Amino acid sequence: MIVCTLPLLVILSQAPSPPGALSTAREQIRQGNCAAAIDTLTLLLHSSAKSRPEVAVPYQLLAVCYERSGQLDRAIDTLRDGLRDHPASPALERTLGELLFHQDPSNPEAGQLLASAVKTAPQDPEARHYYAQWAALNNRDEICASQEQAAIRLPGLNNLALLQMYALQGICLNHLDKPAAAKSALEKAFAIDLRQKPFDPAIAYQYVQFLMGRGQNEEAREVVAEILRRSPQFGPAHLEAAKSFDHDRQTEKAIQEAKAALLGEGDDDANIRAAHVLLAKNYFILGKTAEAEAEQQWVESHAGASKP
Amino acid sequence: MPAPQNLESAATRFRWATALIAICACLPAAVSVPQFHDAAPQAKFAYVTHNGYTARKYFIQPMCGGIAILDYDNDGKQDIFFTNGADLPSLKKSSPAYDNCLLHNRGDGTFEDRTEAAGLLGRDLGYSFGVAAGDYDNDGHTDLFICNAGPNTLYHNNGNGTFTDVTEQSGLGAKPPNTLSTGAAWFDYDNDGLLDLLVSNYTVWTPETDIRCQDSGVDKYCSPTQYRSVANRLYHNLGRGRFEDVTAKSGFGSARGKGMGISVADFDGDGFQDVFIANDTERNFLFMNQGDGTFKEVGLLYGVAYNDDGIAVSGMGSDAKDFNNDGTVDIFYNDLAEQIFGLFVNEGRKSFRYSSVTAGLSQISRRYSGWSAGFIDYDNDGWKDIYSANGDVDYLGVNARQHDTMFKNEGGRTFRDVSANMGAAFLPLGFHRGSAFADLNNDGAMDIVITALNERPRILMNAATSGHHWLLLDLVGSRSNRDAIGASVKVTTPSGRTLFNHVSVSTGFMSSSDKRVHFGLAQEKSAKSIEIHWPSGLTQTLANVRADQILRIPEPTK
Repeated sequence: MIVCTLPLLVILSQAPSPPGALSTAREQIRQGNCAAAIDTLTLLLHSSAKSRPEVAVPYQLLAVCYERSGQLDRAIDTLRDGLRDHPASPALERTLGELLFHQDPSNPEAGQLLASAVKTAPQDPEARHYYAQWAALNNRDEICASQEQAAIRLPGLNNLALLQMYALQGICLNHLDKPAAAKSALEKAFAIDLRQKPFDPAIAYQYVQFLMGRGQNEEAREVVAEILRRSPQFGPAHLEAAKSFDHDRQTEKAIQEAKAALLGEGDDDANIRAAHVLLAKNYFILGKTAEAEAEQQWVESHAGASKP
Repeated sequence: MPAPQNLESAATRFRWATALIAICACLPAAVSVPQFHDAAPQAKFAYVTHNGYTARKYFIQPMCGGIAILDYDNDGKQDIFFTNGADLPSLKKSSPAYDNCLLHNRGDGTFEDRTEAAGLLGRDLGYSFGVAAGDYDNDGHTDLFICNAGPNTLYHNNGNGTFTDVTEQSGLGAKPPNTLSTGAAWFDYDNDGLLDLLVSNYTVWTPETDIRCQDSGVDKYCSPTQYRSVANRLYHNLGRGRFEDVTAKSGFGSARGKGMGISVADFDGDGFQDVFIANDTERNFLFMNQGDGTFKEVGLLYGVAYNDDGIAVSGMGSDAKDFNNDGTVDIFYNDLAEQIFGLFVNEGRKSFRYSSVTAGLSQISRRYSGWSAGFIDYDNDGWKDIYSANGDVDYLGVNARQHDTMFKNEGGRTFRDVSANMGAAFLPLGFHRGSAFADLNNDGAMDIVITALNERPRILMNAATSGHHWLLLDLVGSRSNRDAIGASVKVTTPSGRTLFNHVSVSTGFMSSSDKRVHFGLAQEKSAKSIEIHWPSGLTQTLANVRADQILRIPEPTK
């Protein structure tokens, strides 16, 4: 599952034009001086400007600064304070939803906040994308797919945003057992990815996983080859190549690719484990008992991944 | 060649039915015949699979409703035995609602409750899970072994329609305290002609140690990962009704898991029976028989311990049959929704290839949580299809109640979901658990018996609409164990097609199926040869055997 972030900095350029203190805070954030911005914004929020309708923005900026300086709880508290003063602010709802989601992807409040933000500000692609992510991680694939569909139609999205949206939409459509639509979305993501600099192998790998899951092995192999051409160190693609060779009973090549997967980058624990499992089996086929048993020992000594 | 004993050939009636269907198909208002219809409503019995559910959820409740198919009175018709749960937390069968149940097959499509007369109510057994049917003393009468939360139970078939609890003198009641035994399999691991017993164990559990899990104040069943793993147990049959626990010295004691389905077969072709055990949330086991009374666990090295991603899933029911008719035994297990049912193709008896994706199972099984399952050639085309009894673990969620599935084997390569064509009786939603296969009316088409939590079981009679031919082989061992469990059979048809199967009663989860070996022959009206490899090592060949009969084949004395 991909969890991606659209640039929060969009709020820095939002209208309406702020009063002086707000302008100062924005500039401090642009310069990377969050500590100063926190002081400025805290002072601002305690001033009489609190009653102005656009004053939701200082809460948002302050929360961003707290979050960037590792004070997640204070960021959340700030946003809750803001929502108390401005209960209808979609920006505050969205930002609080995002933070709660990052803190705990299964948090139902995060889902409620993001849903509300989408309802109040239907033209906000960021809110829709975050809501889609929350939905994807909480088995609400219908919501995920429809939110991404709506987000993609909104104007002004750059390629990076589209890449992430198409990829997540494809994943959710696949979960909904809509293979044609899922493939279409993932193909679009892959096409954008091929144009992107730098190329993101993790996004392309989502497409590989879809194709493998749907039994479209040949196509998957082509995408794997493309990934390895562009990102030769990408471990998950080497692992897929190893699996393909294993299926084709090309034992030596399977071992070679599994080793490359272990040496590569981008592997998570599950991939590393899968590579060792595959090595154990293929060494055993070759009669290399000592190597096979060493791999087995590695697998057994590393707590097994399981799907409860 | 032994004299075929045609117990009841339904070929004539079958051909009439087929002809009638063909005629009806030409009529504008033709009504298609469902593949299966439920015979249970016509049978008078009180049995409901009661899992002791109350507002408080206990860990063991999802695992209830074992089934054994056996011809307990040797009248040529397969009877049905069901296990049942008990009150919780007392673990007592506190009312007749928790009685186990024996249904006598009357042969006319109806079944009669003979539980009490047979002495099988089991009111002193507590909470029961799986059951295994086998003639452990080779007296010609099929006995029953029942897995319980407490001590397990061995019932000896007295040969007069009654059973006697002989657990104490057999030595099979002994197991580590509070071990939860879920399933069992009879097989002769040392080929001495006596059936040994393997019991799959899940964990150590009592109502007092049950962990209570909740989500937002609502009870839910805990993840199995919260319970500790235990070893399965192997009991060696010493003869004269006595068994010895050989768990430690056989090698079974060194592997701890959460045992569910047991599948027995000779995976490496060395003449000794091996064992696959599906584990819940832990790696699966493949115990290869070393031929000297010991086993080596090689699941990882053979490629069946994990799925293709190196992940342990919630392995549930399992079966081991040669689904692609290449002469080697393959493995299937089912698991929970989103995990994909597992299919492992035997490659030259040296390893297995994870084939769920290439066989199409990843798409068609993803939504289902399977329990009991197995290979069954429901349409007699010679390709073993896959049946799965489905339903989620818990009652929560929109997809909790599920229908069963039938995946049709397309030429030994891929599977297609044909559940919707199986008829309304096949498709009710529920929490289906045990399942066993048998030809209950001896018409050559395999029927299915299924339990579901807190519901009456279904007895799905196969309408045999394909018009395909078949053979049902009833092997009787003499030097080998009398049930012939472990005997492998190769059928060659006049067209040169080769079909493979073997005698195995342990199929799926908590269940035990018809021991007769079934072959669908598609359009072919005979078998050119039938080659039987008996566990004793003898090989027997029959030539030119006509189809559509139940053939009783005694093991040659030489």
